[in-house]
Amino acid sequence: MGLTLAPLAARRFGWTSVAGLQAEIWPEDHCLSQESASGFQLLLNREPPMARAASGSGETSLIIVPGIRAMSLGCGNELLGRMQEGAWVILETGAGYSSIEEAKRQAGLLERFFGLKVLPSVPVSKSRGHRYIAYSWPLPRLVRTFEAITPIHSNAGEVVAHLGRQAVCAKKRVARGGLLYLGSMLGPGLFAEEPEGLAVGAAMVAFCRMTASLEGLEGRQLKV
Amino acid sequence: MGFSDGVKLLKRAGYDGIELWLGERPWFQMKTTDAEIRAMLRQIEDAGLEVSNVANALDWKENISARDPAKREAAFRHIERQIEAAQILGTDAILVVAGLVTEDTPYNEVYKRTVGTLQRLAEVAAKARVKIGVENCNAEQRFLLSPREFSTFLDEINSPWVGIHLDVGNIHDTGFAEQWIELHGPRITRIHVKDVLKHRGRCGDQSVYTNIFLGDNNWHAIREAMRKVNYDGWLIVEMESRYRYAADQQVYDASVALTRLIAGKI
Repeated sequence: MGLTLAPLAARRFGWTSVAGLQAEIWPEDHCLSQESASGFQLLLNREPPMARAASGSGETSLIIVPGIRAMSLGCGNELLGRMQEGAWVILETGAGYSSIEEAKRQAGLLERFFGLKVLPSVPVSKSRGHRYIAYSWPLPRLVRTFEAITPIHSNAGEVVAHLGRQAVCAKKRVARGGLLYLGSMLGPGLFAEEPEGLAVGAAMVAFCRMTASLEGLEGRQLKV
Repeated sequence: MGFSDGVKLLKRAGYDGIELWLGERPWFQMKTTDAEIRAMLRQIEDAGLEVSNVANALDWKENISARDPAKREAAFRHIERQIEAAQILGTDAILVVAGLVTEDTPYNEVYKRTVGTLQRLAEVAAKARVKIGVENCNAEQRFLLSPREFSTFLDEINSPWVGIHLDVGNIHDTGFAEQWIELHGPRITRIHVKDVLKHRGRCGDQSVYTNIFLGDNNWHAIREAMRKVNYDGWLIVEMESRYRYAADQQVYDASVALTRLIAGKI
């Protein structure tokens, strides 16, 4: 799939069907988000062609929002609506590079729509010695940080990655779908083909695929 | 020394042209207008010189490989401005320092981001018919340290409008300038000429760079390699260590050395 530099207004960056998973990428119109989108697109494109042929029902089950800085009310509403239909959302914050106002607004919307409490972004200081995000889920891996992190207050069961003692990523069930919040950017590392990042990203996609298919089965059973 | 006196000195010392650096001196900044650039060109032409190419002093702070999107976008804009200025100044080449590997910005990331951005800039360059010369600042960039890798990098960008601005002093002890010349041949947009003290290493404010013929470059081999690949473009002297006294004397001395290099009297 070709990469385009679509503005947020156009928003549908890529539409990819992989192994029973319909995925959309919603980038913003700045190079941080565009690069991250390219990384996630690369990740989706790595799925084996045989698996891709087995695509599912046509309903989107994964939405990736890369490097988001200026989150709008409309965006929050739409994401929540899609979660109510069963979609999982990978929301990667770019708040570390946004204005204070944008970051505050984003934090407010994340709490309002998804019940996720986000703390102010902090630069990753090399003097502290923490260079890698320690993921405990979906795979235990160390993945390189990206300058700034936007940590979270989250229930222990929801946190899936830390930088030092700070929780930075969370997995949270929302309505029939859910949210994977990334408080440290993963997409640029995917674009750079960092093996650990690709492994974590692929496992996240696999989780969304599995969850979506289970949700689909449940939905059919309910209809019966 | 002001711009006007500077170009007159260059002419007196025997040079044919001048490399202009965007962002280095007050008279050529991002805010400098087209009309002001045209006025600079008039002074250059009045002195009997041409513009060899347009370099910039901004890439070290605002690089296309930066993680910070604001810096990355600023870098894109100043390179676009270099291309516009080159058109106004009647030259067909610019110099950029593309890609800075740092403690925090890893090599793989810098590589992909730099290739991608140069592919976009190549489209701008092609429309303007100005070549982008990517300088080999090997040691300072910590990037593209071998001539083969630099070649692969240019292959990936895959545009006739992006080549290498080869600095024969920048290779230090990681290789041999003449081999870089041979390997890159027609992709060389311009050549920076300076000498290097290969075994000094940077220490405090001591430079590893020095005047032509004072360092460890093999100038016979460099000259032969330029002949072999039929390089007949600009040779641009670049001096990092300056004379402490009689600063203008360095300009004359470098010119004489360059003349002897060109004539093969070495």
